Amino acid sequence: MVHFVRRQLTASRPPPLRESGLIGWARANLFSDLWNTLLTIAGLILLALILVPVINFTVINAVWTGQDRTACLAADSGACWAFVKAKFGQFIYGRYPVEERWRVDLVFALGLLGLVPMLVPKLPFKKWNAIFLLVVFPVVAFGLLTGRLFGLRIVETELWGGLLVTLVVAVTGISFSLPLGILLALGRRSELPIIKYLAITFIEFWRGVPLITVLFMASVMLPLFLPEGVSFDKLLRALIGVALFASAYMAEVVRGGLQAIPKGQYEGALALGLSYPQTMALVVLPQALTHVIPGIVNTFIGLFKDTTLVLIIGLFDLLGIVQLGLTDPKWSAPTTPISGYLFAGFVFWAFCFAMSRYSMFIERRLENKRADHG
Amino acid sequence: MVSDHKVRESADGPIIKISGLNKWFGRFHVLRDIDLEVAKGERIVICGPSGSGKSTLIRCINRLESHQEGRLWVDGIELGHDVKAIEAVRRETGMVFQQFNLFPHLTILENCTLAPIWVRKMNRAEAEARAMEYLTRVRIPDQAQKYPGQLSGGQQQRAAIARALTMAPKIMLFDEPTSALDPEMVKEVLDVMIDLAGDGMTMLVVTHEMGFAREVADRVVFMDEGQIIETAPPSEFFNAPKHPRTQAFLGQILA
Ligand SMILES: Nc1ncnc2c1ncn2[C@@H]1O[C@H](COP(=O)(O)OP(=O)(O)O)[C@@H](O)[C@H]1O
Ligand SMILES: [Mg+2]
Repeated sequence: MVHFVRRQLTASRPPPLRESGLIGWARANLFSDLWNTLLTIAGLILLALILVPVINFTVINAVWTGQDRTACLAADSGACWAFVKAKFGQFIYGRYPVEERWRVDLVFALGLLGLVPMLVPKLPFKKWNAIFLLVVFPVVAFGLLTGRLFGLRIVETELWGGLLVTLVVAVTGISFSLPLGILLALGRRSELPIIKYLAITFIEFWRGVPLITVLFMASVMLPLFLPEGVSFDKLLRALIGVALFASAYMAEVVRGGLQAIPKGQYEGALALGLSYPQTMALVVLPQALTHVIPGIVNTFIGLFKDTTLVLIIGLFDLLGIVQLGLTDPKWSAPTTPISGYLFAGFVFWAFCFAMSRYSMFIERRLENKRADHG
Repeated sequence: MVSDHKVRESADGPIIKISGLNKWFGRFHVLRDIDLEVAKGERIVICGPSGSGKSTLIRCINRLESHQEGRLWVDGIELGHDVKAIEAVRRETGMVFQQFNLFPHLTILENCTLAPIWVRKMNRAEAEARAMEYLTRVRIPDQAQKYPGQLSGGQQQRAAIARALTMAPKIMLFDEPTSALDPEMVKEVLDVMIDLAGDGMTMLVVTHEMGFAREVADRVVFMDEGQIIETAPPSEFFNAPKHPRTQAFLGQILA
């Protein structure tokens, strides 16, 4: 057929329906051929072998109520949730005075109240929301928790503990590491040698030292250098150490994002008369940061888990306080340690998993919105 | 047309004045002894072989590249190391790039309002109204709410032209605005540029579109090896080129 002329034009029609529904999906993905079917069955057996004992231990045979260790001593008893229940207040607040715990609850509530609407993209008033979260909330939280504002009773940070300390360290670390990391990343790319080498030195120093060393030095060595009588709040030292440590990692993540921005973006912005700071803030950083959301969240998650290291300087975070609870003879039973660790592990996992899912949600949203790079 | 432009020149003095300009990339002498004056409202087409320094020259005019020797004035402001002077020149000079350089994280409308709001300190409503005016002018008002990645190449380049125009520049620089486009989209972009030329905008256009040069240019500047080899009105340039290199170049591209 050397010469072809179309006689009739084909009208556009919708695409064919995919095999849909749960059964269709299972047939296509799990049982498509003999090999796949065998794999699926093997996988199900393995899953059952793991899940059945886990569920037995954590739910079916678990002990939910009891006043002390005797409740959890039976030979076949599972997780000792009664222990977690009895110590729950400590796990959340540490040694924070019981009659003042409402202050912690209020801070948690205010934090949620500011954070949740910020995280839902559809909700309005983002600017006011951000001001509340970044300016009002930290001041109020500081005042309530320490009692140094509003004429409240002062609660020394020595008494803080549990999830409260974990969250205070993690949230401060996260909120300082991102802006500091951005500044360091910009500094590292600066054309001014002094700024550039200061940034490089800072980043490489903090990246080269284990966090545990940083915390240890902050608690043991810092006092040696400070004049007699000047003391430095232990929690504050940990906060500074964690924030600086995380910001060095953050700087490298952000630098990766900056490198992905083509020169044309800078030129397009500069040619319009935007200044260098405007170019960075309005054109380059928004793109660079969205490129590296996974890396940023990864750093947040690492930081969240690293908070457990504050135990080394005598602060009791969630894990520390759970471990402390395990030494209580009143609750000494074969299943209490594993129950305590399961609880602590679950709380950490829940926070980290939430961050991870949220970052995936945001990434997908940005992708759909832009149908990028066509 | 020639005499016409002479009148304009004597009336206003040049809006761009380049004298004795030299530039090196490392040891590579990319621009050599460039002298050029552009009158207000003049339309100049710059052509020449690839690598002859055309882009570098027009990028010197808004200081995306810095020069090492010679002097350069734009709208009476001398370009040097003074950041304020550079920003002042960039405010009055629009640039359109081969690769569009739209901001992919902003809608077309936001691309067009960014500089008016942050540089001209215009309020948002006014900036948006103006942006829509220019988007209408380049015939893509219906694309305002889309992101650059959702537009065709021709539409993106027209959006980039609109974005530059929203700053109400006195001079427009074009660096091969149609070279990255599929052939069927070249015309829609050239039409917009011809329309703009009709308004009396001062334009410097690096392009290989010789049809555009014939129709719109007051003068054609031919460059080779970092130098201006020949400058002439299009009729003379195309019909009676004087320098052998110009003749060779035209022989190649008009063949
Ligand atoms: N940033 C740069 N660094 C080094 N060499 C460059 C740079 N930009 C351009 N050049 C070189 O300068 C010469 C002129 O480039 P250019 O002005 O882009 O030419 P044209 O636009 O005429 O094709 C080319 O040889 C190119 O390789
Ligand atoms: Mg070029």
